[in-house]
Amino acid sequence: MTWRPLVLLLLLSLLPWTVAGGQAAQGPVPGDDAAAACGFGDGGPATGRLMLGGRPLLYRFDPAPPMVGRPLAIDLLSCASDPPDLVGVDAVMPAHRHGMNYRPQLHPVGPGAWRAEGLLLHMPGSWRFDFGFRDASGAMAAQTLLTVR
Amino acid sequence: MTAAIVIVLALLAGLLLPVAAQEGDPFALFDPAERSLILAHGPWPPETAPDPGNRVSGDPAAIALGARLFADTGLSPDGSFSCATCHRPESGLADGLAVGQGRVALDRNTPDLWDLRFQRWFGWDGASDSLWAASLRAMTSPREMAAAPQTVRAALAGDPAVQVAFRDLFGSEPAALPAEDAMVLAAKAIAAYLETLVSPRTPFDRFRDALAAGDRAAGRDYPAATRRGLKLFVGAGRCTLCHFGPTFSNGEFADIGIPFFLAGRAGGGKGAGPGVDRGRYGGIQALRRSPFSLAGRYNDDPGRGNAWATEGVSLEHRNFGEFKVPSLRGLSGTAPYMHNGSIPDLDGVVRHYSDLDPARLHTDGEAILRPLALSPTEIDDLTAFLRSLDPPGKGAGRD
Repeated sequence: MTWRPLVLLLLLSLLPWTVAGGQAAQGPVPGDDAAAACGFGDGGPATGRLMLGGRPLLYRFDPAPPMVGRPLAIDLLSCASDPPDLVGVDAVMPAHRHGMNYRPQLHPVGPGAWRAEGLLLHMPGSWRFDFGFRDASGAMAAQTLLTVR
Repeated sequence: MTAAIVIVLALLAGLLLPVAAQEGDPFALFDPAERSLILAHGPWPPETAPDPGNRVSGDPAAIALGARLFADTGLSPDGSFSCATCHRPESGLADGLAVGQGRVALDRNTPDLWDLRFQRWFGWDGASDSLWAASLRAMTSPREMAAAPQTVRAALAGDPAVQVAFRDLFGSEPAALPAEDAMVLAAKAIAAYLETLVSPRTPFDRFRDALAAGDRAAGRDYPAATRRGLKLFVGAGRCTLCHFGPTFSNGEFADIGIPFFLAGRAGGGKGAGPGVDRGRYGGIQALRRSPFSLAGRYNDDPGRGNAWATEGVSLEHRNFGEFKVPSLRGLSGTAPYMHNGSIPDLDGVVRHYSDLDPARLHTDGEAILRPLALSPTEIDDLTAFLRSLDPPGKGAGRD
């Protein structure tokens, strides 16, 4: 009991290392039936999973993790049986209120699968990736945050 | 009671240990995020690869021919200018002037030519997307060398040693080629030479590598004031937002509140009004007009994978008045500073960021720069750090 405060202090002192490591880590894709049946054609792992219209949207960075000032591509895979159309991919730094200096090119690579090329994250810090889609019901979007160092 | 004593001792240790650690541990000043940023500025030099857009990149014969052409005044129509006229070897491959002096007084500071192979864009406005295209821009500008393709081809054919070297390298006599093709190949030889200009390692590089290796003894060679300046650079100063990576430049463009009005000269171009340097906005426009960009027929990369930035770059209103984020390596030798050479010394550069007037920024809502409000000691520390990016020896420049 007398050591609890010390343990707490130790944990607090480790917090900055934990956060920094977590920012660069590639989290595993949580498994469920839909995700298990849905994966990139080459069998490679996803960087993360978002939800789009109630169905999973897998994404992965190339290179992973993304690096400041290096060209970046993003593979996207909709796990919907009737996937929407990808209409836009963008990245912005909310804290700086600016985006990229380049417009990515979008390439369909299969049913519900796309590759966005020509992104460049030109500053270290927190970037938000915006993925815009459209289907018969209208527009929808998914977002994810990443700290790049 | 025992618990209370333990807590107090632990807290005291937490307060005192960092102070003690800084005495002997040159890395103790930096938190994990700052260490990560410091490591991202190396190693130096980075690995290199041939330029896929230049068929003679890395070829020793091209490098030798390019070095010769770099200093060849015969490339200009009246024999009065070579690349080395403004990029003087004795001045660190710059000219030491506020703005360049070509056939007329130019509008911008002459950049040095070190470490260009690691860049994506060339020139203060990034109007060129390759080293050979940048060489062509200076060669053909009426205000600089004013070379015409025919002039260059005649110079290549008129010097027997150059003619033989050109033929051996490219498999054709200069005179047998269309004039523009011969000129582009000459520029590619010059670019091959420029690729070899990689600046030496610096005291910062040794400190950075010591940090990577956990070598505290080597880290202690980096003076305390310099370490404090480095902490400002990667920390509160937020300098690494733009001056990032081994070259200390993210290779992009920024408006840092330096006026872009041109003294005594009209020439802002269509829609810009007179006497305004459009900076990156004009650079992107020029890039899109140029027959020598990587989107054009002179790009030697068969897959055109090297043209992604040229094809994808956005032209935005905020590009107006943005200029290239320069490398900071060898900074002491490249005074005066900024795109128009308006700040004479390094101390003035640091004071510019310390006293920055946000009202002078044209950022379309961006929130990156803010006045650093540095104390005199902090200004000295930050300046000391910047000087640690000079190669050892003369303490200035990369000459």
